[in-house]
Amino acid sequence: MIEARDVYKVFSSSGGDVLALKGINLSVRPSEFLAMIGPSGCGKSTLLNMIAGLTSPSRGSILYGGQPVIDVNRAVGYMTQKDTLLPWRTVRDNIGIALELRGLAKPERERLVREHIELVGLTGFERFFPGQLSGGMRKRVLVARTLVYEPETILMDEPFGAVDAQLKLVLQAELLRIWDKTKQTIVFVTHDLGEAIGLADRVVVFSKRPGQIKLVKTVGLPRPRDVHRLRLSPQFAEIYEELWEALKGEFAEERQ
Amino acid sequence: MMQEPGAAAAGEIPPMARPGGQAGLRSRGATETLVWLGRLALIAGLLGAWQAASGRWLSDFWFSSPVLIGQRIWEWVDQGVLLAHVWATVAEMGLGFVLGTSVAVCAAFVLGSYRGIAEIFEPLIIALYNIPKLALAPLLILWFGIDMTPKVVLVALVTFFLIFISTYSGIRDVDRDLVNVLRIMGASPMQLFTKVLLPSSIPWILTGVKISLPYALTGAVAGEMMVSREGVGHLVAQSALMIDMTGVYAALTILMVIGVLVDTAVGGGRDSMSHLRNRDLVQV
Amino acid sequence: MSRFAQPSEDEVLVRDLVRASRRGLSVLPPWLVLAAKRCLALVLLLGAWELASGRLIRPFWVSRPSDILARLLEWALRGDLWIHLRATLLEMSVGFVLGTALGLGLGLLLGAWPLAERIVNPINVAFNALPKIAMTPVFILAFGIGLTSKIVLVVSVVVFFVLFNSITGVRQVDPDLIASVRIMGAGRLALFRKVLAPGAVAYVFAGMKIALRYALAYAVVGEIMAGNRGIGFLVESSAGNLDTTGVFAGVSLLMVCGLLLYEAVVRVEAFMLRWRV
Repeated sequence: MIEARDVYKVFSSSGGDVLALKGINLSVRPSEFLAMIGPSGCGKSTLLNMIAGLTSPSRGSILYGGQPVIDVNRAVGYMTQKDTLLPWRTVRDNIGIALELRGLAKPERERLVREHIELVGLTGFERFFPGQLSGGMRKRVLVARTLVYEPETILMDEPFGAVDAQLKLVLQAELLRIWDKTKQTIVFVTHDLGEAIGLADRVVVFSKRPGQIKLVKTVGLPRPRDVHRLRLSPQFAEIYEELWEALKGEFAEERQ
Repeated sequence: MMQEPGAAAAGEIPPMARPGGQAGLRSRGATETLVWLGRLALIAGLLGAWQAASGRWLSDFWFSSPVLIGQRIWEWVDQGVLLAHVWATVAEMGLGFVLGTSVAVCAAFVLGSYRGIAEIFEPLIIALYNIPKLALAPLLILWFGIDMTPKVVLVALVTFFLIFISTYSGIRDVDRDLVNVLRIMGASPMQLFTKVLLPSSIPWILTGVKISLPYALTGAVAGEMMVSREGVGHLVAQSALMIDMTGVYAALTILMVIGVLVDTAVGGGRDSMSHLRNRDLVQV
Repeated sequence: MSRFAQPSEDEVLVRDLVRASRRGLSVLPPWLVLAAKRCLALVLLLGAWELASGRLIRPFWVSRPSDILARLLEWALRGDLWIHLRATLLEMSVGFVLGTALGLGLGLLLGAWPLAERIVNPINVAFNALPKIAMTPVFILAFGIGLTSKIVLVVSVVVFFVLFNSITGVRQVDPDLIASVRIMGAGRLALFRKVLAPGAVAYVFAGMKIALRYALAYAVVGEIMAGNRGIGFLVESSAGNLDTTGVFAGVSLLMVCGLLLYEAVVRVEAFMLRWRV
C-alpha cells in the first residue's frame, strides 16, 4: 500500500542543515495497523508528512498505491496532536467539512455526518462549538472528521499525546473499535510504547536522529484487543521488554 | 483611544490594595454611591470654580466660562451650524474609514497569501509605516485641494495602516497544521480562502477597526484644522483665528463629546490596545 | 558539529543532499537571495518613479528621487537640516520626558488608589477622547509659535497614554506577589514603593516605543499647524510654496527619523531588559 524506498531527508535552515532520515526502507500493507516509535526528532513525523505529500524526500521515493507521491496526498486522512478544529464551526459542520470540500450533496453529507457522530459517541452534541467541549470530546470530533470521508489510509501523529492517561485508554479502545469495522490502513506515530504495542499489528522502532529503522517487530497479540487488560498479559510484557531494549538505547544517548 | 481602566470594578482589586483595608467592610453598593457622589462633586466643583473665577480672577476673554460656552453651543445648535459641521466631520471619517479599510483588507489578503511578495516588500512597508501620517496632510492638500478629498484620503491612510497590520497578523497567524489537514482533505486554494482564511481573520479585522476609529477622528480633525471650510476642527481653527476663545472651547467640547461617543462605540479600546501593544501597532 | 578532523559519513551525506536540492540561484544562501530581491524591488520602484516623473507625470506633482536627494543634500550642507532636525528632536524629547514623568507619577498614584481613580475617571476619559491635536490653537495662543507650544502639545498626548498605561500597569501586578509581601508586614507605602511601582514600570516601559512615536508625530504636526522651525515646518512651508520636492524631502527625513528612533529604542530596551529571558 505504502512504500518508502531508500528515503533520505535533509532540512536546511538558518541554523544549519539537519539530516532527519537516513536510508529508510519500509512497506505498509493494506489494512495494516502500523505503529512508529522513537525518540523526539527521529524523523517519524517527517516520514508521515512525506506519505501525506506535505514534504518530499531529499533522496529516494515514497510510493502510495504503487504511484509516487507528488503534492498533497488526498487519499489519506491526517490527524495530529494539535487541535485543528475550526472554532467558528459547530461539531456537525466541522466533521462535514471534508465532504463540503469534495462537493458532496447536502443530504448525503448529513447522513454521513450523523453516522460518524454516532460512531464516536457524540450524539446530542452536533450543534456545540469546539470551545464548549472537553478535550476528549474534541479529540473524538477530530477522529470523526478524519474518518467521515472514508480515506483509504489514516495517518496519525501522536493524536493522543496531550491527553491524560485514563482518557487515552478510552480513546485507544474507541479507535480499535472503529478500525475493526472499517479496516483502513493506519500509520500511527507515538512516543508511548504501550500504546504502540496495544494498538498495532507491527511496530517500527526508529533510532535517534538521523532516523534509521532499528527494528521492525510483529505484534502477535490476538484481536479484538482489550486495551485496558492487555497490559497485564505476559505476552504483552515480553514484547514490551524486547522493544524497550531496542528503544532505550536511543533515549540514553540523547540524554548525554 | 483608550477606555476606562476604571471599568475594572473595585471588586477585582485584591482587598488588601483597597483603601480602608479590610475586605467586605464596605459593601459594594456603598462604594458605588461614593464613587458617583465623588464624580459629581468633582465635576460640579471644577465647573463651579471655573464659573466663579471667570470675570473675577480669570480673564473671561481668555478663559471664557461654562455658561458662555453653553450659550454658544446652544446658539450653534439653534442655527443649525453645529449639525452642519459635525456632519462634515463624521462624513470625512466615515468615507475615509471605508476607503482605508477596504484597501487594507485586500492588501492584507494578497500579501498574506503570497509570502514571497510580502517578504520582498516588508522593509518598504515598515519604512512607510514609520512616516507620521498626519505629516502627510500638507502633501495631500497640495494634491487634492481644500475641500473634502484630502481629509478623506488622510483618514483613509491612517486607517489603512492600522487595519492592514492587524489583518495581516491575523492571516499570518493561521495555523499551518490546520491548513495542511484541510489540503489533505482536498481543499483547493479558493476553498482554503473562503473556509479558513476569511473566517479566521474576521476577529483581527474587527480589532483593527476598534483601534483605528479614534484615529480616524484625529485624522479628520487634523485635516480640517489645516485647511477647511467645514467640520468641527475647522470651527476650532476659525474661532482661534478670530481669537474667539469661547468659540474655541465650545468647539473643543463638541469634539470631546464626539470623541467619547467614538471611544464608547468601540468599547474595548483599551483592551485591544493592550492586546496589540507588543506588536507596536499604534502609529498616528 | 564534528569532533573529528574529517567530516563524518553523515556530514558528507548532508552536504551532497543539500547541494542536490539547490538549483540555480538557490546555490546562494537564502538571506542573500532575499536581500538581493529587496534591493532589486527598491531600485525598480525608484527607477520607475524617476523615469515617470517628467515623462508620464508632471514633476510638480510627484517630484523625483534625484531631486529629493539633491534637496536633502542641499539642506544638509546649508545647515538648514540640522537646525530644523534639532528643533523637532528637542520638542519631541522634552515633551516625551515631561509627559512620561507626569503620566507615570499620576498614573502610579491613581493605580494604587482605585477609589480616587474611579472618581477622576470620567474626566480622564473625556480628555483622552478629545483629539489633542484640536488643542493646538489654544497652545499656540498661549505659548506662541516657538518650541514651547509644541512641547506642551507633545506632553498633552504622551501624558494620557502613559497615564492609562501606568494605571493598568499597577493593576496587573500579580496579586499573589502583593499578598505575600503584605504578609511579610509591608504597609501601604512600602507596598507601593517596592512592589506596585516597579511592577508597573516594567509594564509601562513596554509601551514607551509607542509613546515615542506619538511624541515625534505630534511635534511634527504642531510645527505644521503653526511653527517657524522643525521638520514639520519644512514640510509645511514647502507645501505653501508649492515646492513638492521640499515636501517629499521633509517626509523622507521623517521616515528616516522614525526608523532610527525605533531602532534606538529597541536597542535600549534590549539592553535594559537583558535580565529577562
